[in-house]
Amino acid sequence: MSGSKDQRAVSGQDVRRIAELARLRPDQEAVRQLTEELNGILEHVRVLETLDVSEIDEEDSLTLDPVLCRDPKIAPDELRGDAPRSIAPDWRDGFFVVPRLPALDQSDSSGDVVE
Amino acid sequence: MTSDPTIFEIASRVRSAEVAPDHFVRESARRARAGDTGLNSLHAFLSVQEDTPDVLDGVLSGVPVAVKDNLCTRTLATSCGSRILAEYVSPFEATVVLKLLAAGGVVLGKTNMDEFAMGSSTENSAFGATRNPHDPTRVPGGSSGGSAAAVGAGIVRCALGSDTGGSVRQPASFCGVVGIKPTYGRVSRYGLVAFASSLDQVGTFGATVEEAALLLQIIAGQDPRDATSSNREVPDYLEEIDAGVEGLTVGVPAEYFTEALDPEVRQLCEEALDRLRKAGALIREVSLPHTQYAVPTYYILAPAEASSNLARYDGVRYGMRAPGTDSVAAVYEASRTQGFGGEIIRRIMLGTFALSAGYYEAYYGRAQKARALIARDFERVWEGGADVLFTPTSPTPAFPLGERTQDPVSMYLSDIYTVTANLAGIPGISVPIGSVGRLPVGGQFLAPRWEEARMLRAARGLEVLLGGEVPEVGWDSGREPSEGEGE
Amino acid sequence: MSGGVGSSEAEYNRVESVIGLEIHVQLRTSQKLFCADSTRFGDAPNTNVCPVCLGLPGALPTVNGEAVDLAILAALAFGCTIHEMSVFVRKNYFYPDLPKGYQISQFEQPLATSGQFTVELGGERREVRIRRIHMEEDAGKSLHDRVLGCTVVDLNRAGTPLIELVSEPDLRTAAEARAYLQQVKQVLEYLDVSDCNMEEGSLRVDANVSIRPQGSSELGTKTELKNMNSFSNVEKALTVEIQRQVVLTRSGKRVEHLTLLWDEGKGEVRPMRTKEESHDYRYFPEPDLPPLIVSVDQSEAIRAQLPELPKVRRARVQHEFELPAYDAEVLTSTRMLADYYEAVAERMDDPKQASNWVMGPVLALIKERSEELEGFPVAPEDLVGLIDLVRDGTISQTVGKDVLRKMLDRGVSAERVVADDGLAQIRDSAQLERWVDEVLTANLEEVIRFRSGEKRLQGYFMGQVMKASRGKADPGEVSRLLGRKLEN
Repeated sequence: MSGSKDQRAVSGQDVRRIAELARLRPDQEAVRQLTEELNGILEHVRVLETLDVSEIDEEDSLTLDPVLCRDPKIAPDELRGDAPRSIAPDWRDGFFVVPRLPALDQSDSSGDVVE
Repeated sequence: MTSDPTIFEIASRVRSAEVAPDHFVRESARRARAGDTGLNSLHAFLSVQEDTPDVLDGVLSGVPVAVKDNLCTRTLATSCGSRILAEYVSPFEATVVLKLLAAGGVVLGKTNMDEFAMGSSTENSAFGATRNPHDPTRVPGGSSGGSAAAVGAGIVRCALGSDTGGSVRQPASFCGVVGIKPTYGRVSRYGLVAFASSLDQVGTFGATVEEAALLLQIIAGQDPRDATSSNREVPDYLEEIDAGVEGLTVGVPAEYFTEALDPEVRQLCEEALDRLRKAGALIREVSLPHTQYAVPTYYILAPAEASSNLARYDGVRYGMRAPGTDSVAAVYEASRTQGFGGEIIRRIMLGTFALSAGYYEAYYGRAQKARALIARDFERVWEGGADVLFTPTSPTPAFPLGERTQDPVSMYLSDIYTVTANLAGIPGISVPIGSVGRLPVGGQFLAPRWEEARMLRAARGLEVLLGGEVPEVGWDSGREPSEGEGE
Repeated sequence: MSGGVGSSEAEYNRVESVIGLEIHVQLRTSQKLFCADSTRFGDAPNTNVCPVCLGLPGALPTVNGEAVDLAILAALAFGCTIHEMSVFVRKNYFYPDLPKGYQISQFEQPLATSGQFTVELGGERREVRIRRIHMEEDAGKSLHDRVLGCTVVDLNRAGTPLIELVSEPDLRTAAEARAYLQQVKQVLEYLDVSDCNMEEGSLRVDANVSIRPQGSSELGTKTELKNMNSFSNVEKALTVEIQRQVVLTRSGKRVEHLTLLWDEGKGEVRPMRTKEESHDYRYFPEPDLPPLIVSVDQSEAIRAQLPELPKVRRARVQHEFELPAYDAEVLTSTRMLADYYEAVAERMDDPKQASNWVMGPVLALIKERSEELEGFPVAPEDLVGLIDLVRDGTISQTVGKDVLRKMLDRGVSAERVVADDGLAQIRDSAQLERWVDEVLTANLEEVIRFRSGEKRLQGYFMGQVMKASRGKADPGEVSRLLGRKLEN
């Protein structure tokens, strides 16, 4: 299914990079398999390259009616039971809890002040 | 069994208090449990409950409805066929479920599905596959396989599913029942766990066209909580449903009748067209020249949107958090890698790639344009005078369990006739047109956007014309497949 | 990799800094941008949340029209072009306080572009082009070590409407940047679109800065500064970073494109540990939201609601009320204060007096009680009443200030306070003369000393008379009487 190595759309390294972007951690065997499968799919998808799309310009989306702004009288959808506490994997004092983020890690956050 | 009462009859008997309000619910629950104890367990349901209707004088009062497990319900878990949401009970309810309940319907249980609606066979469920009620060695189709099987086995008369690339219509075809995908925006997606937001729609299954149509009637309409739902008025879908097919121009797109199509399915389609013609419909060959690009387009756009929609499953606020994680990075990676099945990971990877820097234009950007071309094909065909189109629903009848799980592309190709409707946003319906051996086969009608009534009229017309020549709804879990049946 | 600036010392002897600012402003709406939850600040954590802003499976966004209107108002105030069609996008990245794993924002087709703003500093003017103003949702808050060894997340803030105001790199000094921020904030405050409170996080600033040889038109490599929690910190951080870049280039090294965090405690910048990949946001149009259409009618209707903007108002007030420039600036520093001043001045024939009173005692009292006062509860006509009592001599200026405080506390008019407390100045000449005589008689030695030249003892006698009269003697009259009597 996959073409020659030179023609492959994605390499094993690409696969690792994409996995990191998607916060996935496939093991070595899975990376190998994914590389093969993704190339197979992308090979199948390749036919799009030959399609002449020139008659479509940027503004041509599947024309939906423009967005209607929300009626301010509509209340937030009520959460049943004890949510969000009841669905949280880890919860303390009213907060969702995760292991401590290392200082200086991660780029864009919400713009929080870093302590 | 075909002697089962229709949902019209059920509701009528409950409204008139002829039976207890939960009478039919209990019978369906009994059948659901019986279906999972036989030699070849159907496994259509992930959960079953015996509830009573909220409303006793409604259009659907007392009618048990199977609900696909990606629709949020208040009492039963909503797992989407995934380990990552295995015990998740939604604190809010889907709009379509609320509407169902407001009409007196009862959620019988949540049905099995391909994980996060990604798949065409229900083999991608983290909780085991569902079997085809007509042949337990075969798939029921997917991703709404559980709902289709539940109706096909006669456990319920109607069910809710979701259709992103054919996930209602294809299993309807495989299980010998009716399956409707409405126009995009006709039905609220609030509470439908998103797979590909611009393609997803809640769809309905029914043992007959009218029953599927009634369920659609109940759930259709604008929802202020879904900005993509339309404020167009919902017509009465049953009013003209028996008007017949005389005078209807039925387009037959040449591109859907290629070598990929199983010859026996083709035969059944041609017979169906013949019936339509004899009943006064005008059959006309049409062309949808961009059809060959539909599956590639779909398999860029759907995974791209899915990769973003599934980013929220990170183990932080709900769902599975992998144990033993001592950093945020580990929480993310371990929970997601362990919680998602192989097909999900494959599609997230594909989608992430298609959106990533340097590849967006070549993949996602291009696929969006291809989509517009595909939609235009349909516009031209409607402008050319076709009222509806008729096509096979799927190239083959139900394939054997395990046949396509090793090759993703072969699995994707079972969607070739159904993805176009999702890409163009138009409604589609699969209606049984016969069988190959024991295996049911569905034919598909497509219509212009918002023309469900016309589409239902055509489908109902064909259903009447074929009356009695399609597989029975109903199934005995103890039955062995006999010689020469199935392939 | 870096911009085309060389490293020779000669070139860097005359260096200019190039600064652009990105301001995130929380809009003062009652509901969040994409759901109906309250935006109220300070509530118990995770109580203003719903399926949408929690990012629960199956939830969908809807658009808050009030937020759109406020965004349009802000964009018009900065002279921007409002685009009839704008598109929401998903900005995809992972962070614990980003519930959906993406932020709904705007990218290639924002609400508004191409505005401009004039910054005034030390008599000079800097024209700053506004590249764009777009709408987006805020994320939640992550708090570190509130639970030891953990990060905790509060999603109350998630979904709050923001506008992002991006300038072109037209600012040239750190001081200009600070002035820009102050003056932009003033406009936003005039529009009443935001609380603009950096401490509460309703206004946040990121800066981009690079250097280049003076006269060059090429851009150097820029660095991005974050984590500055006040305007003065922005100025400090920019100053430090510009210096760092200058030193770097003078020693022959290149400026790297980095994101730097300002450390207030140490007064230095340090790099964030970012990986290239984390900047791939994979923007694509938000499929859950159709395009936003703003008709010309709609934006013109909003334009009609624009208030007089600060600099225009300042000029008009100065001219109309014939005030010094300084007065006009102080009085129009906020819209509420300007409204108040004009209401007072209109009711009097002495705008300068009105100005003195508003800039003086009124502002002092507001400052003193800044916690409790929103707007100034002493109505303009009541302040005028007080000023009149001082002008006609019923009470002294000093007493007047006290009366003001009491008017505030009791919510009554000046006349009432004066009557209730018996504060009216005593001008009965007979009574005054009695006090003066009493004081002079009791202080004969001082009288002699006064008459022999110690004129400053007048103040002493005045003090004694005021003491005898418990502060109520009309000082003007007393002064005259003293003058007459001490003469003889």
